[in-house]
Amino acid sequence: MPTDNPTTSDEASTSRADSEKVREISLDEFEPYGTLAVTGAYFVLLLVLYALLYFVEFAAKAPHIIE
Amino acid sequence: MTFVNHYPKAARIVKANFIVAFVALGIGGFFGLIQALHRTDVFRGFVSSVEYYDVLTGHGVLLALVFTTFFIVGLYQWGITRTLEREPENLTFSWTWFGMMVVGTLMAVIAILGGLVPGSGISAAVLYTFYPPLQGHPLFYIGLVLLVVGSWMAGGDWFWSYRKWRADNPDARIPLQTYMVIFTWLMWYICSLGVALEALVLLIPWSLGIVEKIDPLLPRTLFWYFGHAVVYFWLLPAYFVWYSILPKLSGGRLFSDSLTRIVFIFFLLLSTPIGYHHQYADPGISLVYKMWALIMTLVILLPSLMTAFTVISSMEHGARQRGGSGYFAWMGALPWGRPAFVGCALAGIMFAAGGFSGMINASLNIDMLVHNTAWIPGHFHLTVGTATALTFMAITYWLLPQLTGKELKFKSLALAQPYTWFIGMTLMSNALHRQGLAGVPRRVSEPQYAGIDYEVPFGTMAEMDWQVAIGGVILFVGLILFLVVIAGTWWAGSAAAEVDDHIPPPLSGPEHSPRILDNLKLWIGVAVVLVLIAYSVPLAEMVMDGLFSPGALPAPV
Amino acid sequence: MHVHRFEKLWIGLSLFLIAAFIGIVLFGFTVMDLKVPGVETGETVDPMTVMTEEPFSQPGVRKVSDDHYEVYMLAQQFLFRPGTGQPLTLPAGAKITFHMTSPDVIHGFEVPGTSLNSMVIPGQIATFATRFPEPGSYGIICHEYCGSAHHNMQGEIEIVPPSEFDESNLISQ
Repeated sequence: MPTDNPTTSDEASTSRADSEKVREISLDEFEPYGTLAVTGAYFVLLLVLYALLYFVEFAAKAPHIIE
Repeated sequence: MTFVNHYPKAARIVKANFIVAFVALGIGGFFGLIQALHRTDVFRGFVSSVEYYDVLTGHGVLLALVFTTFFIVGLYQWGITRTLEREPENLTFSWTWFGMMVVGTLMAVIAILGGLVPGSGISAAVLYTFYPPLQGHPLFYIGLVLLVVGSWMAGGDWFWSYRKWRADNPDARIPLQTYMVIFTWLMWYICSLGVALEALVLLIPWSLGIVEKIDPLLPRTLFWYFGHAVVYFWLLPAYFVWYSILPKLSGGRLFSDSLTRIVFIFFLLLSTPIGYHHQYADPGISLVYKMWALIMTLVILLPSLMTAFTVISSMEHGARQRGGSGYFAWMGALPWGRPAFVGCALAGIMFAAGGFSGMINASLNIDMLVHNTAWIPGHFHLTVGTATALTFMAITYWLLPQLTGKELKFKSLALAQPYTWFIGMTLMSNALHRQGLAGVPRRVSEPQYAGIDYEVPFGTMAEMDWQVAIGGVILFVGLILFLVVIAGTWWAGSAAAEVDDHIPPPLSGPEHSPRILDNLKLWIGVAVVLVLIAYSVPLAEMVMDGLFSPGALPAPV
Repeated sequence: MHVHRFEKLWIGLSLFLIAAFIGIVLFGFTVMDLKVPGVETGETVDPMTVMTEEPFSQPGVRKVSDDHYEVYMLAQQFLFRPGTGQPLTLPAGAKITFHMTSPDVIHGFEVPGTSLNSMVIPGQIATFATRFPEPGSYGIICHEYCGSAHHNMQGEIEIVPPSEFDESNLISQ
């Protein structure tokens, strides 16, 4: 049954990466708080920068196209 | 035993495409260095200010059309082959499309470089957008058509494999990497049809002199029908890497297979109909279509914002499996000593910045502040120039051992390379953005005009010019580092004892994903309808008053 | 389908962000009069004859009323007419409507330090209006590559107080 992880590799070849793994986290255990923090910060940054650019850098400057 | 052992024929095809991509990257990147030094007036000894436009055309075509297309084809051939577990169906067909792409590329490149050879009689200093009535040699347009048609055939090769696989696996879900390839290419067929028509019906007859005059608005509109979606042709392969490989590189697993599929559906549906946002400042495009493009373009933010969440959460999964903790500190537990990971992660960070400047470009009226200024290349060097290019370079470090059976050579250079790129791009791009806000134009060899002083909100014009120049030099160094690592590995690398090519399954796999997401006919249908809504009336109007009318005379460059 | 509640929250925030951007742009467009060129798309012209027929046979400034002037401007390889050589002189405060076309290739029109920005396409007339609130000097740059001397294509706009605006050189309607 083909999957996205075909058994073309030697399982031992993953040992180098796996040795840095400290624990397994399953789907039900995983709570991406860190992602929420990073994306939440990005969200705030986007709103602030957009408003600054739009209302200060752009709209407040004349002349602009009025029609 | 790795990819090259299991699929030697496909591996040869992948490698051939990568070689062309990296040669284009090297030459195009060198041209970029010339431009960065020239337009800032730091060094103008390479070319004249008129030859600059030949160089600029070469830079755009070699990087944004040749490097990208060939790398993407190689990457996707790898993905299709390994997930469908099939060698290509007919090698003659495969090598034919590769040959067509190469011949087309050579024709276009000869036309462009001919402009730098005095007395050659061949030139095509028309820039990557080739807007008529500026006219290049016919070789340029014919070459580009061959490149595009060759890429269509590459997709045909993969759909052929998919059909064969489907016959053996009637009920299986489309493997995720194959899914991403299919949806990218469906989008590519829809959008590249526009530029192919532009070239075949309008530009080639006109450049051959069969027709004398041309209506500039129609080919320009057809170009941007293609030209917005092409950026997703560049971005989706980067997403392919970030979704299917980056979680593993981070030490974790992809958070959700179904959300990945949904994101790719969004791009199939919305990429092409929003082309008018490149024509906000054009006369001849009615406000209704500009407004439609505004709304749909801001909606297409959604799949990229969703990508941010899925990709970052997959990286977080890896970081926490590696022992990371906290709201932000977990990022420190990621493998910052691994070149492939670092390049992809830094590319993603830069994409977040590039996404912001894209949001400004998309926003109809504020675009008037930045349209055709240096802000625009500031933006796209973050997106195609980093999110795409740096991801492609970084993932090559991970792929090359699978394609050659060799251990990566010069690993310390490979690790330094993405950090170098990041620093160089930070300098160059921030300065280009700020110069754009001051009104400095893009696409010009000498943006210094007698009697025109740019008002700079903070900083000085000189400091920004130096950042562009130094940033450009650092980027070029980053490019050299990459080429040295690749060439060294390919020619002088030692056989790898073990190759790490395993990708673990997603946390939430296709078994949780609604089957309707795999309904290709449905999504193709919706995509076509949206394209017809956006483009049929305006294009019909432009055609009905005469295909080549109102016509202007050719201006050879 | 398994969608984590944090992801649902993020999708909600994203939709809010998109709606906020659309709202800001539409507010700017309607209430703050921040517009784009070509709102009035009209008829096309023949680039081969546009300079031989009115109004582009006489590029320059025309008076519509005390508060409204029109500029018919040509962008061509490699100058603006009017604007290059002699500055385009206009009164501060009045509404100025630009009508622009090109007889040869696609050009751009940009006034650095402002958001006056338009493409100039042979066969089409680019129309947009603005007001210059204060007297001063502005540059015009062609920001769309138009050939080998593209980097030399520039012009000047001179805004003078209305009392100093010389109406004797205007093109009569």
